Amino acid sequence: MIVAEPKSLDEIKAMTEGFDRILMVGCGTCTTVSLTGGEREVNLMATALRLARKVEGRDIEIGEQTILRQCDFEYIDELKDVDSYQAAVSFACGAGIQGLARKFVGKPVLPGVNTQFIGFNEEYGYFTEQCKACGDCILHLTGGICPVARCAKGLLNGPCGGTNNGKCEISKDKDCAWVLIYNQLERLGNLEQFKKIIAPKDFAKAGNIRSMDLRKAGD
Amino acid sequence: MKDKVSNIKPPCIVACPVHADIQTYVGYIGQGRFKEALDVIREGCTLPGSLGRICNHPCESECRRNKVDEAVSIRSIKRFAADVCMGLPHPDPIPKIKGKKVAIIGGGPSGLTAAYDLAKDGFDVTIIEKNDACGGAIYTGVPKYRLPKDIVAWDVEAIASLGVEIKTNTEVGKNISFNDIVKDYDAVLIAIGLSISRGLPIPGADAEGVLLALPFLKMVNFDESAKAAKRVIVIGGGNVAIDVARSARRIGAEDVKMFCLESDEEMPASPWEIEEAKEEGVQMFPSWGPKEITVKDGKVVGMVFKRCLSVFENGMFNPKFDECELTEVETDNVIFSIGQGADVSGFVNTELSVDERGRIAFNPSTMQTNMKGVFACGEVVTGPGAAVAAMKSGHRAATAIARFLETGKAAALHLSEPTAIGQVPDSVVDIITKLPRTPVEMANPVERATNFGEVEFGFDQKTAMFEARRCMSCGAGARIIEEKCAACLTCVRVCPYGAPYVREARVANFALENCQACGICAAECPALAIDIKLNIDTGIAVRASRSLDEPFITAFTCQYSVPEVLNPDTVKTAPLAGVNQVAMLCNNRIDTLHILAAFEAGADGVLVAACPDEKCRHNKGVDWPKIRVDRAKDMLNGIGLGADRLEFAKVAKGSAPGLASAINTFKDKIKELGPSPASKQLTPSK
Ligand SMILES: Cc1cc2nc3c(=O)[nH]c(=O)nc-3n(C[C@H](O)[C@H](O)[C@H](O)COP(=O)(O)OP(=O)(O)OC[C@H]3O[C@@H](n4cnc5c(N)ncnc54)[C@H](O)[C@@H]3O)c2cc1C
Ligand code: SF4
Repeated sequence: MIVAEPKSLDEIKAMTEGFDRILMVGCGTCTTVSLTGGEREVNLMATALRLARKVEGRDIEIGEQTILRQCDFEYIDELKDVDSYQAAVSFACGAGIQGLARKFVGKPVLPGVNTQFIGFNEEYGYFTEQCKACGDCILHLTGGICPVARCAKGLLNGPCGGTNNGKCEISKDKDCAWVLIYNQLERLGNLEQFKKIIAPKDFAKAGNIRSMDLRKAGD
Repeated sequence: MKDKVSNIKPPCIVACPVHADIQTYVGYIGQGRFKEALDVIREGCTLPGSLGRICNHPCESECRRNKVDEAVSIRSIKRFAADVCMGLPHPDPIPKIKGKKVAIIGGGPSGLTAAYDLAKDGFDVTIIEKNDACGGAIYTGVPKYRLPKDIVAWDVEAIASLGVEIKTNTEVGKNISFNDIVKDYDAVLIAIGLSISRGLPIPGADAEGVLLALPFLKMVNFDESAKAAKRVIVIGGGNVAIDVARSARRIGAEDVKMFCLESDEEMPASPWEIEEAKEEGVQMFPSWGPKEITVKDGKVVGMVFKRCLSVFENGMFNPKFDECELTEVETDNVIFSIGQGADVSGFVNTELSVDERGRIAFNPSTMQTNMKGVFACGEVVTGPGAAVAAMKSGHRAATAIARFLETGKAAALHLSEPTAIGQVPDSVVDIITKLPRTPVEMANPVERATNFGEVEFGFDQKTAMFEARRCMSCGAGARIIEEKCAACLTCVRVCPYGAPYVREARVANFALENCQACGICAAECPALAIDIKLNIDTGIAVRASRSLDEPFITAFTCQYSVPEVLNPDTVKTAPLAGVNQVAMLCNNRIDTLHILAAFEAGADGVLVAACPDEKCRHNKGVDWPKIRVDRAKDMLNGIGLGADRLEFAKVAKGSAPGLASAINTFKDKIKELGPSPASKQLTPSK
């Protein structure tokens, strides 16, 4: 899932400074699961912002709606009374925020969260990055552990000299991905693989303005 | 008398023959809402003062706390609800809007229950009772040391106050004819119970000094000068026999022996009754059958018994004796207490049919007799049992009669029965906080056996509230709102009891058996997709016209931290002055959202009072209320209200002084901070 972190109330206050009627839109998929963009967070931020404005001496109106996903127009179309708001704050990942912006023509759509990474839910409230969306997956060579995302240097051939009793030199709380890879390959009886040099990846595949067109498949 | 909807209920409610809403009234007692508790009790159990004393409480045997420690003392809680409300005026009469008249013959528990339901439904109800007062066997039979007469009278008055007319000293067949009643009323209910005591046709049974249970108990109940001989033998092993034996002790018998066919383990009397009788010096002789009564000069002098080898064969009553093993016992009195039969003499020479056992014949599915519009209920159709079972029959009859009067036809009743939540799983038993059952105080056995004072003392307010709080709120916890569930599994990760689980690798589902209704999951669910069924009071009051000079405080507490000062007019514990108390089932349910909502509603300050860690039933190493308060404090700083306006206090469960002092200290602090800058404009924008 895509993991997003909450923006501070101060930031949201600053972004929404000029508006008196705001729509806050939650996303019922990734950011709900990462606990920062679902109905609860929208409700919390909306209440906090209304209170903050009251403290400043003004009453504002905030609509709160949560849809299943903000990366699909069909769901965005479910939003009600969008015209009556001056601005929207989206609690979806960057894709959702932009999806909303395409529907909310002529009005500002503001980010309610900071999109972080593609991650895994380790335990309640704790998420770790697992994938950089590099476009050229090598997990079959690395025992199912991604060095691009989980090695601090993104080394394709590791470990480096900074490996330290299984931990990474940047922090004793972070596992060295290459030790994990070694151990897993050993368990798989495939340490031979460890000796092979992995060729440089085609980073063009991770370039910008990416798109994917499956419609060509039937041609 | 509502048709019971088929659903899953706590086992206490399922086990109770009238399916009284035990969970709700026990909860109300725990929260100090006593009158409301009594109102709930009456809907199922129409004689709460009486049954609070003598009910055989099948609910307690099924209580899920039995597996954790001991059952909640439900009967005594019910008694407290009745006792604490005894000073209140009785309910107002119900307008007789239905324009139909119902006669109920017999004012015992079954007839009174039917009268309650029918009067509440707007029918014009008359009870015709042969005794000088209603109550039936619990009035004439049950001895005063278990159930004082004024308690029965109070229960009956409450039913009469609904507008039920009661004609006492009116025996059908003697003072009024059955046929006349049938003519004068739109429907008739026969609820005459079993008023004849049975004896045994053994040699000597007609001698002087041989008595029958019901007349004996009636004498003991109403004749102040009643005296027993020195030595008394009671024949029988049921609760009635125990009442006879214990009553005989109280009117002077020094040597009371009970003989019954059944073995020690088979004795039908309730174990606690047997125990209390023994404490009072009653001697038990199980596995003996009566052979003959020894008579001298027309008077009883002794009795011969033969060894009883077995009582039942293939579940049928078929006693086997060893005629060679005999014992003879000297005595002055023999009292037969071996069962009751119906007295249908008032109905002879009418169309009404009687079955082969001498009881009124009826169709159990329509409750109607062979006569159209004439119904029957209670022990005269079901045979002997407990009062609450007679009440169930009364509820059924009332439903049947109401339908008959509305449609002109007696139709089969299909009242669906609830099913019970399963037992607490072993893994959960281990983590549930143990809370021992509050004992009920009893009078000293030596002293009590000399008089008719009540042997059992009820709970006082503090013990009743404490005991009620032992209820585990079975099945009142988390419910998933499937349309909203994002399948994030947060609930699965935070629940201390393993209640949510993944079903078909899709969404979380909740095991009712595990859930303890702590509310932790509901306050963490990012999609707000979990409801706690029993949210006690999440309504956050809005500061309407309250002055800005007095601080306006909202205090979140668990339902059990309610003050204990009783307001005698409402029979409710009084709220703390100047504070909106929002009681959660448990403060693990407190949500950062609740806190902000309280500020939005105009609070100058918010206090979250949670139980100390070791006292909180549900704290299993994570201080959830604190985590949520900390988040709210952060936000309050961002909002500009400042974290100082939110206080987190640990107050011992049920400690009113502790709570009051925490609130007062906090109030002073808020007074200094002044009114909330957010409460100056009070136009809620949502
Ligand atoms: C000694 C004793 C102890 C008991 N102890 C307990 C206990 O501890 N717990 C418990 O749950 N249950 C107990 N029971 C059982 C309980 O009392 C009965 O289950 C219950 O009273 C039955 O109710 P009922 O309405 O069917 O009949 P009853 O209570 O028998 O009421 C029938 C009424 O009809 C009246 N009646 C009869 N014939 C006529 C007529 N011709 N005209 C007008 N009125 C008439 C009678 O006077 C009586 O008031 C006890 C019973 C007895 C006898
Ligand atoms: S209410 Fe408490 S016990 Fe019930 S499912 Fe939620 S967290 Fe578990």
